[in-house]
Amino acid sequence: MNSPNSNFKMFVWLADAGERQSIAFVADTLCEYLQDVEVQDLPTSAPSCSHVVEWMGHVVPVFRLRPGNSNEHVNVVVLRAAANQENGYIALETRNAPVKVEITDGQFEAFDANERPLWREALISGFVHDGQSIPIVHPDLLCSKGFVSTANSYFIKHLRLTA
Amino acid sequence: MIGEKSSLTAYYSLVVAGRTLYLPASDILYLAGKEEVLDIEHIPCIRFNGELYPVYGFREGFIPQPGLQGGDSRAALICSPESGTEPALALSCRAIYKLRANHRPRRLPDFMVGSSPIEGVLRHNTGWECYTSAHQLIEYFEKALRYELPQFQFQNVRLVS
Repeated sequence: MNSPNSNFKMFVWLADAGERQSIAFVADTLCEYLQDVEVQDLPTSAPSCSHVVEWMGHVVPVFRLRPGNSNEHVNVVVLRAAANQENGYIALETRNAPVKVEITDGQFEAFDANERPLWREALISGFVHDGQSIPIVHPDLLCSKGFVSTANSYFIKHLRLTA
Repeated sequence: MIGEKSSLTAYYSLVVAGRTLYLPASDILYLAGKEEVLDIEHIPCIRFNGELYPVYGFREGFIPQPGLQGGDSRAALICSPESGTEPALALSCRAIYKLRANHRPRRLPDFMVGSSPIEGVLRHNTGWECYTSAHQLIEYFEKALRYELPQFQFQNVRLVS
């Protein structure tokens, strides 16, 4: 007998945040993909979130997993994040445009959060896609102290390794 | 503080630590020259209305340091956020300009600038410049100096002459 959720399906946006970190967002949290857009750095801000991008009249904080320069052109996704009480949006650098994928019930079960420790604090679920565990993260949780602290440590460690 | 309907239109633009920092004009009470910076018991300070106020600056990376920084020739006396009119400390800077802008400053969230001397950004020409306030600067110095320069007790910022 099938379980009540056996036919469960949902769509998510799959994005490559760089550094071999693929993540997904629930469809309604993604606002827009901006290609080759200029970001501006802000000294003394959190290492993992030290740039801003202007979008629709808003100044949007940009999370990045690698060091960058001021006035650099990068690709970002703009995400709806009520936790940013200043304007309700954040952005995340991605390597290319996010892809919409359909996931089914069976894909959730095989997800292993330990494969993606960086995203643990921002995780709402996860699934397996092409043999990889993909965390589904919520933009509000990307703004949490826990995630920013983990991301800063990751960023600093990465900076040290690439120096 | 930054408000949605800010009425601030006059700002000072200060060049500190190689960056430009904008402050509300009302947060700066006096502009001292290099020759006005005194050394009182090894504490660099300026005299204003008969009282002494310490001079602090930022070296590269916005690391707080006492005194005028290399290449700086000005010290802007910043008001205390509590009173809004009483001086608190002087900030070392290389250059200072006054300007008026129609744009309002945009505050940035705490997860981004929570432990930073910068409070937000202000549009200038085609880009965004760092914006701060006396409140944010003094809070940052209070926190940072506790660790960086324990020999300088921030509580004693105002030295009676």
